Amino acid sequence: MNSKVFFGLYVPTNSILHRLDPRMKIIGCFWYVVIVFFANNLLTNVLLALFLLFLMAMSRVSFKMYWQGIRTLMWIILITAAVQLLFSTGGYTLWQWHFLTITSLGIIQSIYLIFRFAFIITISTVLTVTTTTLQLAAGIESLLKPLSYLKVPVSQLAMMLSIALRFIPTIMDEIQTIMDAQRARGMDFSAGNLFQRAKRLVPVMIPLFVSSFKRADDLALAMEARGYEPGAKRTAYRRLKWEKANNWALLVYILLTVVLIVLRHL
Amino acid sequence: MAIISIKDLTFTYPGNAEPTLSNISLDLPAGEWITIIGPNGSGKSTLARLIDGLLPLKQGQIVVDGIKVNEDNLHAIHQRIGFVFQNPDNQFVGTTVADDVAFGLENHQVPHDQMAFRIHQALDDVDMVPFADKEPAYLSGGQKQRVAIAGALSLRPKILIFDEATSMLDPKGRQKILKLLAHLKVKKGFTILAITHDPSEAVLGDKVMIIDQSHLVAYGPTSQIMGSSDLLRNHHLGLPFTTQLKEELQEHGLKVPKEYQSEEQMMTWLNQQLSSNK
Repeated sequence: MNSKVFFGLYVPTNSILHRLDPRMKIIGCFWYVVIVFFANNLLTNVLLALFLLFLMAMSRVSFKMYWQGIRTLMWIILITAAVQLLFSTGGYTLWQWHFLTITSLGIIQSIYLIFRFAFIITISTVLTVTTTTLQLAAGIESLLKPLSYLKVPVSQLAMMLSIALRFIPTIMDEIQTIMDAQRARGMDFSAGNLFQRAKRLVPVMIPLFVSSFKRADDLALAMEARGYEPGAKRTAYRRLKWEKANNWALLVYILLTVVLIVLRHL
Repeated sequence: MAIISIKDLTFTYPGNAEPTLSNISLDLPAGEWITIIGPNGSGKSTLARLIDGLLPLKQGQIVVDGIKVNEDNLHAIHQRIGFVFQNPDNQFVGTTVADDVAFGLENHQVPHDQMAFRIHQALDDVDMVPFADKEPAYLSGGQKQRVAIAGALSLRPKILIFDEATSMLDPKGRQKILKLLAHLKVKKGFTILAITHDPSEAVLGDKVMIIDQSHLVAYGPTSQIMGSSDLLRNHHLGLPFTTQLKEELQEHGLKVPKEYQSEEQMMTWLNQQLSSNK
């Protein structure tokens, strides 16, 4: 397990998409997920697929990366599609056995469902391969800013998020160290059934929790020594700048939405 | 002039019966490198934390650079004192090197247009400019500690406190940090307060204080304290190499200088002895 590339889905190809504002990309990804649910016929699905292919090509990241994203969730997709296929009704009944039925509409719907899943996974992959976690955190913070008027501690939440992201590789290394220490004591993590294996993770999790609390304690002290006060006013080193290209991206999205609505009613 | 002055300081952790520090009074001069040594649990780290206002002071008084350490002045105190802790990983806040240095600047509300310059300057002081955009996972322990020092320097403090900051590093990383400290002291006039376990590190400073069982038991010039094997032994502390050597020579009936000798000084002295004995 290479902890350094965990979350390292980011692929630095420096494409146009990489240079877009993270806020635009987050909104774009979110909006795409929303309109996926409005695609109800062949044409709209083709439109979304073409748009997605366009983004994938623009990102200059190999299609293999995108395929990996889908492959890891393949079983969930297939099981959900199978459930949809066997339990939905409508259209002609093609096959029936007790309460299980396969209907013509069910087939169509489960195919759409597979596409929906694939679209959502791939658009999220587009976001993560073109945006660093740092930018993502900054984008989320900026997008949540309005909530601070409702007394939501946005900057504190953003600080927590960025610290959580920062410590993922550190904690992954720690897990590796603890597992090695347990292996040295004769622990075999790979043998046995799923339940037995899960049980063997207990002696990994407990030391991990203990050391994480110790870390949190140290970190809090170090942050205080450097003048951090929760809720106090701070200036920002990283600032997001909304450049012109983002307006074009926004326009593309509006066009996509309009075309989708038109195609829906054809 | 004293940059840190401590008067009648007694500190007990909540829930403890015995005080961790009792009746400490001392003045630390500006621009010097002062080392604190003492056995585990003697209260060294507690003293350093009290000076930086990281623990609530109840008995006694601490004045740092003319400012009384209390809850109202914490911001000013934290700006004047740069604190580097033991574990390189647990004090790295930012997602990249530059972001980590920026963390302190953001807290002290340094305007955005000055940040890039001050980050660059601080990283330049610790020789880490090429790593500015690197993530902590790609850095060695010594490099992370250098970033921590840069984070402290960026706030332009007057005092740097190192709480066993080199104890988790490999010898090479450690040498580099110690050299950096010497450089910062001489070139930038920092007051350095370093806590250590290692006698070879303790001899690098100007003054040494020994804390044992919550009391300040000795405070004086390095040459005097680190040369006294009896004093160090009494408080269960390790002896620097040359002091050990002197002790052995003394057992063989040789008359040795009383003060601490650096390795070069010891070599010169030995050469003198050898040539005069001929």
